[in-house]
Amino acid sequence: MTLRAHVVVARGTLNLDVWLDAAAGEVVALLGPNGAGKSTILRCLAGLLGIDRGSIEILGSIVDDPSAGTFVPAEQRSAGVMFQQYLLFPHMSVLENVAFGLRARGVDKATAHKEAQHWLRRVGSEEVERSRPSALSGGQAQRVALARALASEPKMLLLDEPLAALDAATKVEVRRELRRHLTEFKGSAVLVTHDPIDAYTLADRVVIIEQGHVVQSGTFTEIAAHPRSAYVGELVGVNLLTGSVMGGVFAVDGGGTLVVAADDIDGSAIAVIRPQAVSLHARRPEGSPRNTWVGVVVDVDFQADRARVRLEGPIQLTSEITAGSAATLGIKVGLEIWASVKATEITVTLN
Amino acid sequence: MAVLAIAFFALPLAGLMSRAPWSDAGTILRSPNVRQALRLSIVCSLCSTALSVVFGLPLAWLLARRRFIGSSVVRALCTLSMVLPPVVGGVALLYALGRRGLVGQWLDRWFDLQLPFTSAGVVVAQTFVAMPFFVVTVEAALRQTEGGQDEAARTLGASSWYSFRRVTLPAIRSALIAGAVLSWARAFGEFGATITFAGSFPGTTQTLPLAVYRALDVDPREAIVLALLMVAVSFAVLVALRDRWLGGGERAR
Repeated sequence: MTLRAHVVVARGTLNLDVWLDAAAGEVVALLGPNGAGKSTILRCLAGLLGIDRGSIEILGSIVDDPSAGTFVPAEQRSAGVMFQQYLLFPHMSVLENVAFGLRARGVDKATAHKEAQHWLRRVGSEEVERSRPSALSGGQAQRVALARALASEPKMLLLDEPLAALDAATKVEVRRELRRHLTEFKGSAVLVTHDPIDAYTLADRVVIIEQGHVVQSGTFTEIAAHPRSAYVGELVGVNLLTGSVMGGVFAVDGGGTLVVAADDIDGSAIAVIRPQAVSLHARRPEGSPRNTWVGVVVDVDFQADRARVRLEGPIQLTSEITAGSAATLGIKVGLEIWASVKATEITVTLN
Repeated sequence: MAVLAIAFFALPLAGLMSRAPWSDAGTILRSPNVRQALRLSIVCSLCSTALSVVFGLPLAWLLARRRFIGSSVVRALCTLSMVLPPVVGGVALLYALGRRGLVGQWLDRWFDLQLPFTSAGVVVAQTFVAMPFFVVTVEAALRQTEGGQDEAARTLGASSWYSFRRVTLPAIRSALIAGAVLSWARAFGEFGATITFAGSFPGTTQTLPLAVYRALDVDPREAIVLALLMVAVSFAVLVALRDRWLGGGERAR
């Protein structure tokens, strides 16, 4: 593990107590509602805030351990941070912003600027190097902030809501680029988000934080299949299918197609289907649903008055029905059953 | 109402101008007394502005960025001289730094250093009343730019000092200049603390405001010329800096 942390912090009404680790090259998403303490964890990892108890270890060396009196300040942690509001320096050009980390470490101006230009090229922003941050669009500012964080070659990357400040159209493109940079990044990365799609598309592993505590962690698919609480179910218990969309038909990676309402977009995409929108039937359903198929029940999870039914077949997804209808349908593992989803219940976003 | 306010400020100036002995002005301005006072005023006010910046900047930073017990008391203490009658400040300085003062007696005994009734005393008195103007202006600016950018700089490997120099100071540049100008103006016009602590000796402690006061008794025409000289110098500085730094500066950048 390149990152191993036990973060215990009390701030106001927030009591944070979280175990967290990340391997080299791994991207971990901290997912949770606003005020859950996600950003505070990031600040502790970055060295901007000391922990009350616990310890933080990066690449085998302890950087924060109150019981031993160890605290390595932010400037010596080599953690590249991308802030939610980017916090570019307004009085410097884009190039100077990106070169800042190297200059601060004593690299001479010519070398630092050359290196900064290299990073600006990598994020595709070399044409704005002379601009002031105030002249940049949201997407450009995000790319520059990423280049600035990466240019000082950090051991660890910390991203606080990296896409939250962007409009929907820009978000798709920037998210795709960010994923590429995260894949290329050799160290471990921790990403804070409240958007399940960000967590699904960018992270290898998801840690769900609620009121300062980890409520569940694992891959997104694992968590979505077995949410440990109704809240987690709400948050990530959606069916996310990767594939491509064209002419109102969504082709799922790994087989299967769905008719969707979005017929104006083409390309690589993610289909989002709420489990409640997947209905189960003993016989082939008649009427409006355009998407019907026969699946096999592989798992049933009862939660109070509801049942989450995991289906395999042409399309793998989870259905949530009332416990009553589960009993009526005689749901059990191995049962073959008809499933249907209305085209209008499928949300498609480009990926 | 605004016009009345403008008239209120313009009227005294007109009063001065109406009584000014324009024909003799050149002779009066060239007199050694006046030149001495002007030079002393400029040198002392610049020295006290420099001291206000050197000591006021760390103080403003401390007040804006550090939370400590009694910080509001410290802030009140450090800005007290803004609201105190300057004469009171001068008396207080005398009891602190005078030859028999709390600290002054040791300065006298160990270093043979006497501040009252010297040019250095003028600078001390001026700094005492002028520094708060710099501190208050800069502290407000530091509060506005609070935190974020400095934290971003630190995560990029910048030491606190490097971040302060390269990120914080440029961000508050207009406030630094505005604060320095305000404290200079206050020092340039300082009267009460100076006359109490440093006295009014031509050549060593008699700055322009003090010279005006003395001239009122001796030669009112000289007083008017000196007063207009002060108005001219202050007005020129304010006008020159106002547009760039104190008002529309933000947009111009």
